[in-house]
Amino acid sequence: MDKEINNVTKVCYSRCSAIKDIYKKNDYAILFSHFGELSIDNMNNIPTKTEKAMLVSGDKKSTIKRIFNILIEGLQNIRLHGEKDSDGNQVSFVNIAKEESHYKISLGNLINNEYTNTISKRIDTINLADKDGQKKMYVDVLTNGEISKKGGAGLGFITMAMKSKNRLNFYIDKVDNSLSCFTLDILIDRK
Amino acid sequence: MKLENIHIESGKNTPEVIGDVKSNKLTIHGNSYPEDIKLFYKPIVSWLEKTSKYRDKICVDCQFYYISSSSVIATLKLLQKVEALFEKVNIVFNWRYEIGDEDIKKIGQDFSNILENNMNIIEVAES
Repeated sequence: MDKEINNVTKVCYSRCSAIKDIYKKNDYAILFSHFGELSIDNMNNIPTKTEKAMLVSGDKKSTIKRIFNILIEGLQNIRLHGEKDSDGNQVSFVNIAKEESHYKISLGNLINNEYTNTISKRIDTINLADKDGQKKMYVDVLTNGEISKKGGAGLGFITMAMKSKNRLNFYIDKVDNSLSCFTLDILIDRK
Repeated sequence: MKLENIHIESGKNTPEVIGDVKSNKLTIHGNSYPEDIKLFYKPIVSWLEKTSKYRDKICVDCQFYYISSSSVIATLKLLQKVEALFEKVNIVFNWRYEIGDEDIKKIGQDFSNILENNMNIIEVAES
């Protein structure tokens, strides 16, 4: 059992570290980095702390609101849908970094392998759609959507894509026969 | 059964909610991104159901700053519930947004297209 837990942590930590290394190599300033379970306090504090840091940096109000909203969606996604390892830990990570022209947010959590294709197709469809196509997808879900038992509404990815105004990059790293580490890496222009 | 006002104070990620039976007005103002939005809206739906038995008219006045996608859907469901409980001609929906906040404005416009009643989209000064 220890070996399995270590492997879950190892794969997720490896992806988290690889992303941070890329940020560092490209001279990003890392504003926030978290690896491990995401508490309700983290959920509430991370967007607020990021908002304060962005105000200090002189970012536009509209950019601050877009990033705050992306964080709300991403962090709730982790807490509501992130799978737990065999020891009951909801392994996840969050990195927030900035450089002169944009911000980067990476969010990682465990997913069940049976959903990897569904999630990949969903994000690919969003990425392939233009602005009008994304809006149509958004309105379709809004019109027909229901709040699930977990509290999700099916608008998370599309909302993040629309707010970021960029494609949603993602990685799926297989951990074992049941779990994978799913990572979203989102770019948000500061202008 | 006595008809009472409802008042839910704002939280870190929940809006202030005031339901006033004298003015027939439900006001929802603030941030809305709780994890369990259904739980948050449950007493508001109950208040609306009870109020609809004693009052013909209702005005729902919304103003959000930060709102999650699940709260967007839950708010739409709440407004649809209002349409199910009250006659169309007796409903007023106000949707307020801060100057320059196009994203919040667009949510109100989307609601207006989906709901039977039009939303009054109202621009307000920055807080």
